[in-house]
Amino acid sequence: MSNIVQELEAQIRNAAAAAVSENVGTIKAIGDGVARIEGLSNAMLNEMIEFPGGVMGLAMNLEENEVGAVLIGSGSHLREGDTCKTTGRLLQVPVGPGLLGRVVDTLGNPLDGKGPVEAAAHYPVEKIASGIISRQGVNQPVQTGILPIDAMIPIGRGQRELIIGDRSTGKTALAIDTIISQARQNKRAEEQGTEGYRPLYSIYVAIGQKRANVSRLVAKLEESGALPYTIVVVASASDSAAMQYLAPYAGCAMGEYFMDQGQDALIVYDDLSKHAVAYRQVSLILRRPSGREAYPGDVFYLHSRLLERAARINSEGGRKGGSLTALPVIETQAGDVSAYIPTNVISITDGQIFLDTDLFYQGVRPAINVGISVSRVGSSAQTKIVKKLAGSVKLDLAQFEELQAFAQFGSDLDAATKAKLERGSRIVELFKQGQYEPKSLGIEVINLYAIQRGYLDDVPVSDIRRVRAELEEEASVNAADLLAAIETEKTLTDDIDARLKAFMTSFKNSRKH
Amino acid sequence: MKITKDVQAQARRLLRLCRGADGLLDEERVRRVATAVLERRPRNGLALLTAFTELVRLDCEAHTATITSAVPLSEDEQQRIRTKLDARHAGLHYVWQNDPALIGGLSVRVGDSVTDASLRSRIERLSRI
Ligand SMILES: Nc1ncnc2c1ncn2[C@@H]1O[C@H](COP(=O)(O)OP(=O)(O)OP(=O)(O)O)[C@@H](O)[C@H]1O
Ligand SMILES: [Mg+2]
Repeated sequence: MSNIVQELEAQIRNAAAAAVSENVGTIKAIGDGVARIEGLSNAMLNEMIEFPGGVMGLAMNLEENEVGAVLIGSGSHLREGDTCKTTGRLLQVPVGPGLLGRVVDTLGNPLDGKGPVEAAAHYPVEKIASGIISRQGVNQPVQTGILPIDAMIPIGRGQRELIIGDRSTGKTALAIDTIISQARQNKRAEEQGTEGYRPLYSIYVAIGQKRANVSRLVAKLEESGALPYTIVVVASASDSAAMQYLAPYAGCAMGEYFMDQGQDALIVYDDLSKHAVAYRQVSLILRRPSGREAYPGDVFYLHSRLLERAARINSEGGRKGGSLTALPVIETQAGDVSAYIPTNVISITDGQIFLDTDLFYQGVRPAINVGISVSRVGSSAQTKIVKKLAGSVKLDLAQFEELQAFAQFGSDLDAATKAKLERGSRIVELFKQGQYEPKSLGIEVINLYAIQRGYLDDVPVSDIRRVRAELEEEASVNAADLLAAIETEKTLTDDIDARLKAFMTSFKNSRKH
Repeated sequence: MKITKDVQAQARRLLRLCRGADGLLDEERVRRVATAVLERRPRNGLALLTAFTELVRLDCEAHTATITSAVPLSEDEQQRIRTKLDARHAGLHYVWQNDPALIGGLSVRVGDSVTDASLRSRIERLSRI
């Protein structure tokens, strides 16, 4: 509140001053959302330029006698010869908990018709990532609720995990399920008043997507009760390239607010391929030199400075120990991960989840290609009980895929190989998971326990999913206290082990009848 | 006629030649350079002259002080403004204008910096709060 008083006082002082000094310029050429301006000799890089009618621009090219500014918003009324002026400000967006549950554009203006957004502060869109001293290692999990990911490619809070794959392979679905899973955990902890629970807020940045898709997705978030914990930032395909270029940075600023408050946030950039294309357009219109695939030379820096802002902050020296987890999405063409933008982003992130078209059409959904998916830092954050139970799953599955190719040629296999094949095909079945069905930690543990301790070995592969559904239902109805114990303990204690065993045995027995 | 990077650089060199010891453009030298280019007709001569003219124009604008006042200023007032501005900028060329729309006070523009001390701008700023 004291802030606003100071702000008002400053405004009044400014208005009452006898004279104001401004740096002005004249539009020399305008078109394609870019204005070339003569004058503005004091303009700074990325400074906001004010045009007639309150339209703002961003000074992106500073040349000897000319400034190239990208217009933010519609400049259709601007003409050659119009004057504009510097503002001394950087582009800022509203941030704060008031944005949760809202759908906003790149500048933080509401798009959902729910009235003005309530901002706790304004953050600059471009910000230097936090330094080395203020960071710490990833040590808390992001429970995605997607079993194969939590078991094999665990993600930690503050990590940057890339979701990469061809079009329509379920990239967005993974991200949305993760968001829904966080919302469910937040809600449950709120209801039960769980002590020490750190809520994880989500930000979904839609870049260059069709509006119809985004509105469907928002409806889905609303339906599943995840919207109150989520901010949706939209720069759709019909918005200007400048808006699409700036959207991820704006979303990131909103996430950084939570991190600065010592809270945890998760941000999804869907997707950075379209972001790179938008930036290429802006650069070409600004006549910057282009390089490989016509992208400008700083397209690596475009993504590295964005993803570097995801961090896990320590709680020393007055810092509050928040985190920002980033899930960038990249679309590949025909599975080619060695194209320019995919290799860039792969090298920046701490691992990738690769989604495979072939697997997707074989019905393995989520279509995670285990062989080339990794999480380079997440295992130190993996929940202990999951780590214990899933320890060998990734290896089992990798061996299975290798053996499977080999087994096609011969029928006489030794017993050990057969067992591996049997186990592998069951794991594959078990890891299939529908959309919008993230699992709780307890259910994930039951699943892993069942497969790892061999309780599913006598179930025919084609029956696994049906049996799993029964198992999960049985657990939620009759073993709620066991699930709760797993949620609180988070380790495989002897007690939990015994109770899991008892539960599995009784489940098996009940099925025999 | 395309103004290439080379031509631009050449024009900038010519402009440097036209500056006197005080760093200001010397009108006589500018004229001599222009005549020389026209007479010798070097390659890209026309482009060069265009680029050169543009640079001279920008330089002139940067050294022009436009003072707009609501009512005509007296000789004495003009002299006082001149003294103040000359102390800050070298080689200024003055343009005096009247614009009753300012209501009162004046606005001074030197190059691309505008200092607006008119009544109109104060009212505008107050109305924006
Ligand atoms: N686990 C799943 N089970 C069943 N269907 C799924 C699953 N995941 C995704 N799908 C379906 O696959 C289709 C593509 O999913 P999605 O839109 O998430 O992919 P995408 O890679 O984001 O596509 P795009 O390239 O269009 O962004 C959708 O129709 C979705 O419903
Ligand atoms: Mg998608």
